[in-house]
Amino acid sequence: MNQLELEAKVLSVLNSVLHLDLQSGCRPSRQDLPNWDSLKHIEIIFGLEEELGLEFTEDELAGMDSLEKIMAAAQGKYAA
Amino acid sequence: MTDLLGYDIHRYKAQATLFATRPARIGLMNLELTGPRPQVIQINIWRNHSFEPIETLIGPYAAFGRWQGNFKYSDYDDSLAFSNRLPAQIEILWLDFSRYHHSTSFEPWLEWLTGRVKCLRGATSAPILLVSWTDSPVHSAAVQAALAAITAAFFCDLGELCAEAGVNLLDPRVSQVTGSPVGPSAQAVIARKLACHWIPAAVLPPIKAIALDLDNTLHAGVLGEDGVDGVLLGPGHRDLQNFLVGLRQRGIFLALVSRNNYADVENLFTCRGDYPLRWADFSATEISWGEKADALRRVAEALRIATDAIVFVDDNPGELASVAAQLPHLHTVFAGDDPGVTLRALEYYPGCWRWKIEAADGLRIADLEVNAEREKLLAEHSDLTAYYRSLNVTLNLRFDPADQVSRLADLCRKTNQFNLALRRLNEAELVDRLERSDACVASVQLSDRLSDSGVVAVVVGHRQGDSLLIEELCISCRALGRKLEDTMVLEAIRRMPILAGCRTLAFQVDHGPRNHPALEWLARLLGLPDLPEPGLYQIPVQSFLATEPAEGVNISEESR
Repeated sequence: MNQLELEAKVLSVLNSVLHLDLQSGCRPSRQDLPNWDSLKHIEIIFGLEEELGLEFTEDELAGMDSLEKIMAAAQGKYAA
Repeated sequence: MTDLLGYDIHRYKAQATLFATRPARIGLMNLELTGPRPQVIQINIWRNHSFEPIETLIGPYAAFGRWQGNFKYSDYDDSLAFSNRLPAQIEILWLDFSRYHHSTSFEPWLEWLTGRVKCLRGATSAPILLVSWTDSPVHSAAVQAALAAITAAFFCDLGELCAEAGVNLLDPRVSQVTGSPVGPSAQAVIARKLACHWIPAAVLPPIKAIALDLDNTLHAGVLGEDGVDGVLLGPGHRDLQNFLVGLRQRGIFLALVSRNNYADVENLFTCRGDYPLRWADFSATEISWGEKADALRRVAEALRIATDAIVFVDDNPGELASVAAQLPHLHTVFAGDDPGVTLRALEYYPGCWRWKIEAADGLRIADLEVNAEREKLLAEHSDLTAYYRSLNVTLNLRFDPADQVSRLADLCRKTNQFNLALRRLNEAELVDRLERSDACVASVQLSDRLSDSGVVAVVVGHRQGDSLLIEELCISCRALGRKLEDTMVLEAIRRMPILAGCRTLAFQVDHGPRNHPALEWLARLLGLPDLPEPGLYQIPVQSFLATEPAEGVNISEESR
């Protein structure tokens, strides 16, 4: 999966869970989105695991709080 | 009309996502199914871990089943204080078992839990669902037994559910982040089970019949074009037919509604020995080239049920949407290319699954099958007494029968036509009445030499001074048409111990969309020129008791 495809999938999950219409190129983070609370956060992680076919560690879960960090964690998994 | 059609088509497309073997979270969240006028169910959630992710996933299933949950959450509370409780139609205890398991051993915990459920039972008559798990099948069985002893309380065992579904219930990674150890795959499975089975079975009316199209629904191919040997029964359609046979054994009627030649279809079921379904399995058949909505109306009439108790399955979404527009209360399921999805859509259709299969459920189909013979006998006999004697009609009355409460609650919930007050007393309310000295619950079982119809009537009386208020009066539609209504009601009330000393009887009346038969019965009893309006209708006890029971009917009363 290339960078653009990964970004599209992550944005799609964020849009589904947070009911947003984030477009390619934007850089959403938990800090900037008030409805990205702890419950939505885990829904995002579960959705990402399902859509990307990955499983993140407990340590990774809490840190994946922005598009960039999510993509970095996912790319790390794919590379491993 | 266009919006409704659009909604129905959208709903049929959603079936593949909703009823996939393993439902996918994002797919469910993207469905955005919002139908017209869903039934709103008020649900209290008493919890010690987060339920919100489950609620999110319940939404699309509830929308498919035409209901909507209005969830009211408690604070996170291990102690189950039930503080600030608001009225609700269902009470859910959503408990993380591991939070107790670390600090207390099982037996004292179960004793404490049972006490808390009983406390809630005392505060509300709504069904109570304990949705949790334990650390072993033995402990789960103990919870099951403890809950079974409390009226309308049910244990929803998540351990058993997830083991059957082949998913991990717990995910140790997520507790710290979410405050709940329930894992991602389990959440979707739990949501589907709650939305399609556990909650509807506790509060929604049951489905009584499945009406099935034939071509590309029960087999692949078109009978009229491919012929008897040309239509295909693959493993998926075989599983679907076997599932339908199982539903029939549980007392759900099957009907066939197909645009075909009657003789061809009958011949198909005779010749195809590999079909699990047999021609005789269909309690009603409508094989013609006419409108399917009309055919379904006739099916409902033949089965003596309302169209809102029928699920219609067809492979043509346009046909389904057209029927749904003409019969808006009818339930519809799309039979797409994958019969496995159709099977699961029926398996999970709200109202098809029940907490308990009653003996009466199994009697229903056999009872209807002999109705034609009863009607023939009725036409042959000029007087009713000879008719009753020829059939050996017997009414067996019981008073405050604790072992029948579940069936009686079913009658209150299901009966639409001969239901005078429409109180729809639930199990807890019926238990309350049969335990009170100023109230009485009467049941009537009907049998004849052709079949045992089971318990067909419930009458609930409540003493108020020198008056007996009849607050619930229901007779199953299966028992109607035999001219026994007067005798059933008369004998049930006449034999109630709390009638002693009463001067008046007061019948509680309410109006529903289909309870004309009950209203007409009361109008005739009271000599009213029109149907009674909602309210209370009094009659002197002496006048009521002057009504003669039907001659030729055997009447027995089981000792209390």
